[in-house]
Amino acid sequence: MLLKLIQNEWMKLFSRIGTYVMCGILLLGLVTTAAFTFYTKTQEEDLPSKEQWEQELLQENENLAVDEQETNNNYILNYARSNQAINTYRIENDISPYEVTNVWTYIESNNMLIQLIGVFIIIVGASIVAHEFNKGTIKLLLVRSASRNQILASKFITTILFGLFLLALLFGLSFVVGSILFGFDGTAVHLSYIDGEVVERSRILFLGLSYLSSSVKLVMLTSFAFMISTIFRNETIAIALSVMLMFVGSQATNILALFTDWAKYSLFANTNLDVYFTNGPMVEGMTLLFSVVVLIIYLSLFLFLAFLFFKKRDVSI
Amino acid sequence: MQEPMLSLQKVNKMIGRNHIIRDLSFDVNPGEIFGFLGPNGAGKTTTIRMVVGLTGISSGDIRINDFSITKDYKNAIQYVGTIVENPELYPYLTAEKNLLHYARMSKNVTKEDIKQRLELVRLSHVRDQKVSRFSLGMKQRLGIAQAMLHNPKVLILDEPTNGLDPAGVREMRDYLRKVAKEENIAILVSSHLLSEMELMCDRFAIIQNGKLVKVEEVSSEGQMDVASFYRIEVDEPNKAKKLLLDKYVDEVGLDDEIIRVNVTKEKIGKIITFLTNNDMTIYEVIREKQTLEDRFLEATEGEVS
Ligand SMILES: Nc1ncnc2c1ncn2[C@@H]1O[C@H](COP(=O)(O)OP(=O)(O)OP(=O)(O)O)[C@@H](O)[C@H]1O
Ligand SMILES: [Mg+2]
Repeated sequence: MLLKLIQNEWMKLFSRIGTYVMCGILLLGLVTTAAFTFYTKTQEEDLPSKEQWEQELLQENENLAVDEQETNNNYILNYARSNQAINTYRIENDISPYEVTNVWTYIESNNMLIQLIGVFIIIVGASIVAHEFNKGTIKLLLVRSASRNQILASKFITTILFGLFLLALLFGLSFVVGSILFGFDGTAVHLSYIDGEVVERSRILFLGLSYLSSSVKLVMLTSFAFMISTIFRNETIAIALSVMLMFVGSQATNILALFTDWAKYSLFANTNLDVYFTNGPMVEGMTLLFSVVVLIIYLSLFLFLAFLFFKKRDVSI
Repeated sequence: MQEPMLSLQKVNKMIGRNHIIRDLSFDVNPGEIFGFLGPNGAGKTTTIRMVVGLTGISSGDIRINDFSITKDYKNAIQYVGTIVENPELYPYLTAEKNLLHYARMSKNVTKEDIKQRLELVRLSHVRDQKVSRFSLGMKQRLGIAQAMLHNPKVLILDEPTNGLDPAGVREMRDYLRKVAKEENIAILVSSHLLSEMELMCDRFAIIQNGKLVKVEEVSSEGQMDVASFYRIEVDEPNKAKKLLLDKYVDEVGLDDEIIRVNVTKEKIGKIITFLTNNDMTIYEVIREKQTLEDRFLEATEGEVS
C-alpha cells in the first residue's frame, strides 16, 4: 500500500507546473555557474608562483594569529588555528592553494545551489499536505482504506525522495558539464585540520561529504516545514517560517554561541556535520555522535508532532 | 428482514460546547435510496463526515455492513464510496489519472474498471483532459465514478445535485436509481432540495438542529387509508358544500368556486357518487399532491429557533 501511495504522490508532484519550474530554475543555475566558471577559469599560466602564494599565506597567518589572540569565540578561534596550520602545511609540503579550474572545483562551487534546492524542497514539504487541505482533496484521500499514518508517511517519503532527486540531478549534471568544460587536471587532494593535525583527503570523498552534510540540513528543514504545514494546514506559514529559519538559523545560532554553551543543543549548531572533518565544532566539546543524536531527537520530535496532529484532528473543510 | 447496510445508532457530536448532532439513529438498506433532508446548518454534512470517518463521533456508533467506523475503520470504509460536499478532484490531473490515483488506493481495481466507469458516466471522450477544464456537471459525474470505482456497497453523497442544471439533475437521479437497483447498493443522499428528493428517494429522514424529526416513506400518500386534499370542480359549488358538510366531512373549503376537502381515497369515491346522485355535474377532481416541501414544513414547524 505504502508503495502505491508514494507512486500517487510522485504522480501528483510531477503533474504540477511548479515542480517543472523548480527543475528549470536549477538547470538555469547550473548553466549560469558553468558559464561564469568558464569565463573566469584559471589556467596554468594564471597561477601565481610559489614565492607569491607563500608570501600571501604568510601574511594571512599573521592576521589569523592576531584574531586568535583577540577572540574568545570558540568558532573563530578554531577557524584561525586550523587555517594557520593548513597554510603552514601547504608551505612546507609545496601544495599551492591555487589550482587550475577542473571538474572538482566546479562541483564545489555549485555547492551554493544546494541552498536553492533547500528552498525548493521546503516548498514541496510545506505544500504536499497543506495543498490537499486548501483544495479539499484531502477528504477523498482519507476516506479509503489507507490509514492516516500511511498517507502522511507516503507524503514525507516523497518529499525526501524529491530532495534526493534534485541533489542527484545537481551532482550528476555538475559532473557531466564540469568534466566536459573543465576536465580533470589539478590536485585531487583536500586538506583539513583534525585534532591538531593536518590531514590530506581525497577530493571526491570530501565533496561527497559536503553534499551529504548539506543534505542533512535539508532533511531537517524539510521535516520542520512538513510539521508546520501539517499542524497549521497552511502552506504560506510553513514556507515562510522554514525559509526564514534556513537563512537566519545558522547566524542566530552563531550569535547565541557567543553567550552560552547551551547553543550546542540548538538545531543549527548540529546540522553542519562536515565541521567535524574540517575546522571543528561551534562549541568546544561537541562530537559527531553528539550532533547525530541531537539531530535524531529533533527529527523525531518534528515527525512525531506531524503524525500526532494529522491522526487526531477532525477534517472539517 | 434484511440487515441494514448502514446503521446510525444514537449518534451524538459535540464540537466545543455545541451539541451539533443529538441521538441520531436511522438505517439504510441495500438497494434503497435514503434521503437525508434538513435546512442549512441542520447537521447533514457533519453527520456525513462522521459516517465516512473524517470526523470523530462523540457518542453512539455508526456501522457499515456491521463494521464499526470508529473501531474497525479499515474494514468499514472499504464498503463506502462517497462525495463530501463538492467532488474535490485534483484539477491538475486528467480524468483518467484522477481515477488511477484512487484505484491504487483500493484492492482489485484494474485499468479496465477505470475505463468502464468512465464510460458509464460518459466521460471517455475527455479522459485525457485535465479536470481543471471540466464543467461542474462533468466534475460531479467524475466524482460519482470515483465513488463507485471500488464497487462499494454504500454510497454516501452530500448534495450531489448541487449546482447541476435540470438535465444534469435528472441524469444524476436516473443513474443513482439504476445503480441502487442493479448493484443493490444502499445510497444515502443529503439535500435541502425537497422536490428533488421526492423523485429520487424511497425513504427519507428529516433533521433539524441536529435532531431527527421523522423518517417516512416517500410513496405513503395515495394509499386507501391516507388522507389527502382533493379539489372538486362542480356546477353548483355552494349547494355541494352544504350537502357535504351535512353528510361527509366537518370542513369544506370553497375557494374560487372550487371545493376543497381533506379525505381518504376511499371516501372521495363515495363523495363523487353522492354528488352525481344529487344531480350535480362534476367537471374535475384533482388530488393535491402533498410535496415533501409541505411535509417538511409541517414536520419542522414551530421548531425553528
Ligand atoms: N468545525 C465546526 N465547528 C463548530 N461548529 C461547526 C463546525 N462544523 C459545523 N458546525 C456547526 O454545525 C452545524 C451543522 O453544520 P453542517 O455543515 O453539518 O450543516 P448542513 O446540514 O450540512 O448545512 P448545509 O445545508 O448548509 O450544508 C452548523 O450550525 C454549524 O455551524
Ligand atoms: Mg452541508
